[in-house]
Amino acid sequence: MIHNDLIPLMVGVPLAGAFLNALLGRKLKGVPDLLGILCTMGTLFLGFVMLRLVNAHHVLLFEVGNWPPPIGIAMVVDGLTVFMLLTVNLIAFLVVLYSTNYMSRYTQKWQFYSLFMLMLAGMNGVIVTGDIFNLFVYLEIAAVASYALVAFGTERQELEAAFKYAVMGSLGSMFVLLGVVWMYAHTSTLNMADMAMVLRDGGSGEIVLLASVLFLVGFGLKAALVPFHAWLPDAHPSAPAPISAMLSGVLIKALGVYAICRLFYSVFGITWELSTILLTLGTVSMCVGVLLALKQWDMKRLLAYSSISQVGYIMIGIGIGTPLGILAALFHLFNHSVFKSLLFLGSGAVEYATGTRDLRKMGGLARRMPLTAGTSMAGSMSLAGIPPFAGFWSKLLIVVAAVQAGLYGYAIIAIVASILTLAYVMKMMRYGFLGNLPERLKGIKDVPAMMKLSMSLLALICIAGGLLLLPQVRELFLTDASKTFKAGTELAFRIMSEVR
Amino acid sequence: MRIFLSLVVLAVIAVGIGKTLMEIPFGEDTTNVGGYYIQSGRDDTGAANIVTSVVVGYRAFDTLGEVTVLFVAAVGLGAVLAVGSASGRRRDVEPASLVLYTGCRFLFPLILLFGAYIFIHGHLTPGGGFQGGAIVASAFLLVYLGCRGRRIRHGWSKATESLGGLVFVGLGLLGLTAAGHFFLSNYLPKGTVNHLFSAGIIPIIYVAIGFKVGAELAGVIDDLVEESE
Amino acid sequence: MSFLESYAYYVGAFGLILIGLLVILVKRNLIKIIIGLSILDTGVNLFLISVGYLASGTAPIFSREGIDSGSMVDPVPQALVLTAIVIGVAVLALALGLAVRLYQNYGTLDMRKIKELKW
Repeated sequence: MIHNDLIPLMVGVPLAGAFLNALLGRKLKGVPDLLGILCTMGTLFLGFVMLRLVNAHHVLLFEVGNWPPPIGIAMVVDGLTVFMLLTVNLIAFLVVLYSTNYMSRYTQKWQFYSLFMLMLAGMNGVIVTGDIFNLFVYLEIAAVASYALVAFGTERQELEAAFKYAVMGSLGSMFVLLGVVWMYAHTSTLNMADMAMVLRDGGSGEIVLLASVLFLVGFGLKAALVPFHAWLPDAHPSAPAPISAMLSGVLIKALGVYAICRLFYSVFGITWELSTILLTLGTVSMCVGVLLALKQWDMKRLLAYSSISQVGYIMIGIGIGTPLGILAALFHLFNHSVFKSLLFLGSGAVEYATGTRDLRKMGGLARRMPLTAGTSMAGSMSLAGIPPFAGFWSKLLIVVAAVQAGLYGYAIIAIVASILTLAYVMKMMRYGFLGNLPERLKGIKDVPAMMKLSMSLLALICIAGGLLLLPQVRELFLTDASKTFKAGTELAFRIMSEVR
Repeated sequence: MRIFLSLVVLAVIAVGIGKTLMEIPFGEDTTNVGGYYIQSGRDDTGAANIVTSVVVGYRAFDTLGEVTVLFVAAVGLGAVLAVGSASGRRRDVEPASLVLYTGCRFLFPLILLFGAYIFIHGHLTPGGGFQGGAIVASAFLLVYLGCRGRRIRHGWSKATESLGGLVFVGLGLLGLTAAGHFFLSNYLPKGTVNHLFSAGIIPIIYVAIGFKVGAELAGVIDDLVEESE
Repeated sequence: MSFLESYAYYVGAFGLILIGLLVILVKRNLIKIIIGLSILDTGVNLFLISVGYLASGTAPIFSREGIDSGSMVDPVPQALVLTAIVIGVAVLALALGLAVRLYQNYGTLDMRKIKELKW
């Protein structure tokens, strides 16, 4: 474990970008785009630097203001952190590339980029922080930025969806805050490592149980686990396409799934009951999401329900609890971020070119928009789990992990859900891209260059994603992340002994 | 039906919480970190108000997050309310009566002064940047409600807001060059406790935050008032 | 009655939280929902502050020399509540902005009428 001074830059760079944007971006035309690209490139680069460091030293620590925890706030980077950082910032970079063209249709580009940078800063803050109240503060930054971004075009649908999202999201945040208060009242400290130590020495089971429930409800609402998912099918389709990609691709994972994992593994210590609850919630999400996705004719709404279903998959992998299950869940998290963002960006491209999202009103787009169709096909194949695309490997691993753990029932449900996933993917492909081109759409063109570039890069990762499972590559990226789960509260012990 | 379900959910929550409520003693001393702050707050940061030393000293990163959330709300509100609001349906605003108008004009600088007192003395008395900023914003709200038709100039409020934020972040970053620790370490001389010019960078930060929050909230009020006309 | 006496603050805070939740779940007017959110927020903050209380304690401010630091209340919850209140204000401001725009677009504040998005 070493100290590293680069960690706060993960939050600092996007924050600086947002403030600079507010100052300069108003008058000068090209500044918002440029700042956006530079900032996300910067954080992505830093993410890779930290990956190298974590591979060498396993845990990085940073004490803000040089106050040792638990007196001050600490930032901790371990395998899981760097995994999430890379996923989030990679998607953010590619989405920003896409937005340089897509957002030209909206006014006030500087506001979009400011809010986007702030959302990114909030997510990075949630991921790197080692202090539970700090997690709440940065969670709120990302959440409030996302409420404003969903409403960005101020159309009727967007406003309604944003309001519903804002109220339900705030409800979730209040539950999280309540949980934080209970934990503070019980352990009298806010640092996650210190809290884990205090809980180890013996704590009241009842308070920990109540706090676990509160956190599960609060973060579950952020992650759109059923039955807390009601905001997602409205919010994700109504938002502008790059924001849908960010929301579905990374926000629900950074704020929801990551927070649940970090709290329940590194602070509370995982128990069999908790794993079973996660397993159950995951299965329910998976089934509800898949069944509701089948009925949809709105392209983005279909993708939104698909997100609910895939997050269910990830939860199942985590709930299984074996090393293979966790590895599979993390791999699926990465894959889903990539292909879901790709699909949302693709649907945005379709909307950009044709002006509609209704699958019944389109068809045969592959003829006029070959690149969009091709990349969306790649994303869909990955979502459906067709070899050799990345999604196939991660879904297969989850099923194998379930079988290995003796959970045959869950494995069968997962396979059935996969088949149904293939069904709705086929629906989207057939009605959207294949088939006959309606008369009024004969004159459409494919989308501008930046959008194409961004979608192609994402498609490339979809295809090549399976390579992440090769032993050498796996060691670098996925294995360290899954070690966090196995270590559990040992991490806290290491941090506190280093600090004393 | 909906009411019934909601009541059931609430009853479950109430029972669950009621059982655990006994576990937390009320009014007993169980502090761990808090005790350290009280004992060493004056030496570490120089502020007489320990809450200030926690907010701006030990947990300054949270304060940065807080300032950022306000900024997000201000920018977000600007984005949501800006488009297409010039619908031209300006009703004629009934001018305020002379008593109301004069009263508001008289009170406005007094309230501003009070707010400024609160954020300047944040390290000595209860209060601080956020509280003082809110009072400053309420002075502007009084002007909007009482002296109808007067507006603050948008350019000034945005400039003050940005400047305040930059001072806060800049001071934090200066800690890197001046004292070798990245971010928000108290490096200016601490002076003697209980004097106005003590506690290093804390009063400067609080003044910056006071200006920022006041300008931001006043800007938010301005956006909302403009929208509803 | 002794339970209520000694835990009055906790009970009051939770009462506020429950009332806030009830308002959000049941009411249909947009502004009332936002008010419910504000009540919920207040309840949680009140609970947070009550946790730090020390019986017969004083404010953690060394306004004179020689103040007994042993009887000071916990400063951490007060700092946390400062942050939490400001965050609550930010969310409220955004929600109100959205409500204003919704009223402009739909002409009503009733949730039942603002249901363009289907199930």
